[in-house]
Amino acid sequence: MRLWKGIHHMTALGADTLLDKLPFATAVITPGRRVLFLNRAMEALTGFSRDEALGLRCDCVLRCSACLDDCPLAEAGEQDKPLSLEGDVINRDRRRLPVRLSLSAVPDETGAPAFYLETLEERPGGIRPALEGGPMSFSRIIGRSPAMERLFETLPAVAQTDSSLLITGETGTGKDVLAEAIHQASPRSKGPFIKVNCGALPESLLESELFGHRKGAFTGAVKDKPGRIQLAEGGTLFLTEVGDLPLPLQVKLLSFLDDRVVYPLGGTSGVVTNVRLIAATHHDLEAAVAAGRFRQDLMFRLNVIRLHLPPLRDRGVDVRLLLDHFLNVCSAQLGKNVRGLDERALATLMGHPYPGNVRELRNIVEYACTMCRGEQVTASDLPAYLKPQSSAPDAARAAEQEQHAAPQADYAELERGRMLKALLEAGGRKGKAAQALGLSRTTFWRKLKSHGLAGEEKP
Amino acid sequence: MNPKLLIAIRDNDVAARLDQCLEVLIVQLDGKGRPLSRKNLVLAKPSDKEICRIAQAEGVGAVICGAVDEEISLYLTWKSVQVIDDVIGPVEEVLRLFAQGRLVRSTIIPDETAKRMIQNVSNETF
Repeated sequence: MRLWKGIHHMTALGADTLLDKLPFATAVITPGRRVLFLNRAMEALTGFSRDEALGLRCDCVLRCSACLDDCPLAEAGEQDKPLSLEGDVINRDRRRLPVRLSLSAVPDETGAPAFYLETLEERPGGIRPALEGGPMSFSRIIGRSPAMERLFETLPAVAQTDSSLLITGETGTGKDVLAEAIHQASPRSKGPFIKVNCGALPESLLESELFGHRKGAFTGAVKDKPGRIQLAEGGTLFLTEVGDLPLPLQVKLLSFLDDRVVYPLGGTSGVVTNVRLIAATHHDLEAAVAAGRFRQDLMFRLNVIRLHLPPLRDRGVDVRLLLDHFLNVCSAQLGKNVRGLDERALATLMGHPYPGNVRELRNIVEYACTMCRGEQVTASDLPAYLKPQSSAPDAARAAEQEQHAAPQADYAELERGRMLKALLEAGGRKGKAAQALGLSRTTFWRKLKSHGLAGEEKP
Repeated sequence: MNPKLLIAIRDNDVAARLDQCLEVLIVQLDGKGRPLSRKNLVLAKPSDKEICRIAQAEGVGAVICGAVDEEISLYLTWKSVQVIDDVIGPVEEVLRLFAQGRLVRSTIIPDETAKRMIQNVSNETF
């Protein structure tokens, strides 16, 4: 009865009006898990009016996956600060909305929870299922290919854990974007996302950068400096190019992963941290372990969960999808009115092997948008290394014609044609041909070999 | 309509969400809508897709549940299974309404606690 009086008092004070003014969908829940009040935003989100919802079980009204997995009310009652969880709701319109749920207990005069305030905040970064044949997406990552759909399905669960995560994939596949997207979708999203490129700094600097230092640890260390690990407290530390981490630092990182204590350079005492680690590399870590360049025990600790981003050449339909997506984005960013590509430009782009993956595709589209003067990108707007040459020798032209005539032809055949063409144009010089295709000499050699075009010589 | 229905349940109530439900009740009705037989199936893990499969395998004519995703609802409708979703209330009450032909989408049947709360709030001129 005290509760009713309290609520009545709240109403007299205009608390319901106050709750209606909140930008977040908010519900007042009784300790018996019944709905007492919904503000306007919550009515809009769930589709229930406050009169309909009054007295109903909160899980039946809010329909949040986080509530149904394991009711968080008991936990919220024991904590001083609000409890935050990720999940999704299915509203009365049958729409599934990714949300962040925050729950806090409002105590009575004895300290026991009088009622709970529950807010639901829509998360734009949540996974969106494919509708009407559209692509699935996770934050800024989009895809429709089976390989990406499989990846998207695992991401919400991966984001919810605190386990160390290793992201592998070729350069330009979006490892950094994925790491940040996972952080944003995780319960740590309110905390910092700190990125460290392990290949960009010399060993001595990297150690100080990662673990910090105490005053006087070395010449120039005039004051204590916290490392990046400490700066990531409550959030996520992202180690990109972890395969380039020097061996002595691998030992130190291993020790940190074991006990989560950071020992700054020149310090004697450690600092306990609460950080989730995400690492990424384009190297084959297993091969690096076999070659003695990477510690096996560290790999096992990083490899608790592994996500592999497929190269663009294995993503099939995604090339066209990303092409259109970047065209829209770049066109808008550059203030242009580019609406598509002509047939020849499209065939060239669809036949390109994209050794630089999504990053290369984006750069090509950005270049083409910049160069394009009309509403349609033509072959002449493409970067020089992609342009089909009108003066190409017969064999090369034949290869090109074959490519245009049969856009559905086997990818390997198209690649073989392009390599032949590049070789002919370069007068047989492999270095020049590799450069023209945007490939390294070794990759070019490997591809020549796989197509049966290599002689006995070595690269 | 096929006189067999599937209700997604949790304890004695209709489950809040089909995709989070771990138990379904399958009821065979006679020509007058009276229950002839009933069986409960427990799922190993929550899955709306698995419930769709069960519904088809069992040849049910209607699925009754709380919240359902649009995609699943369309799929079931396409498979000629009637979806009566957004239902809140005790299973037995829901069954009774269905048998009377009065169960429609978005039916809410308040339980005793809910009725008491509504009464208390109206007494407080909330």
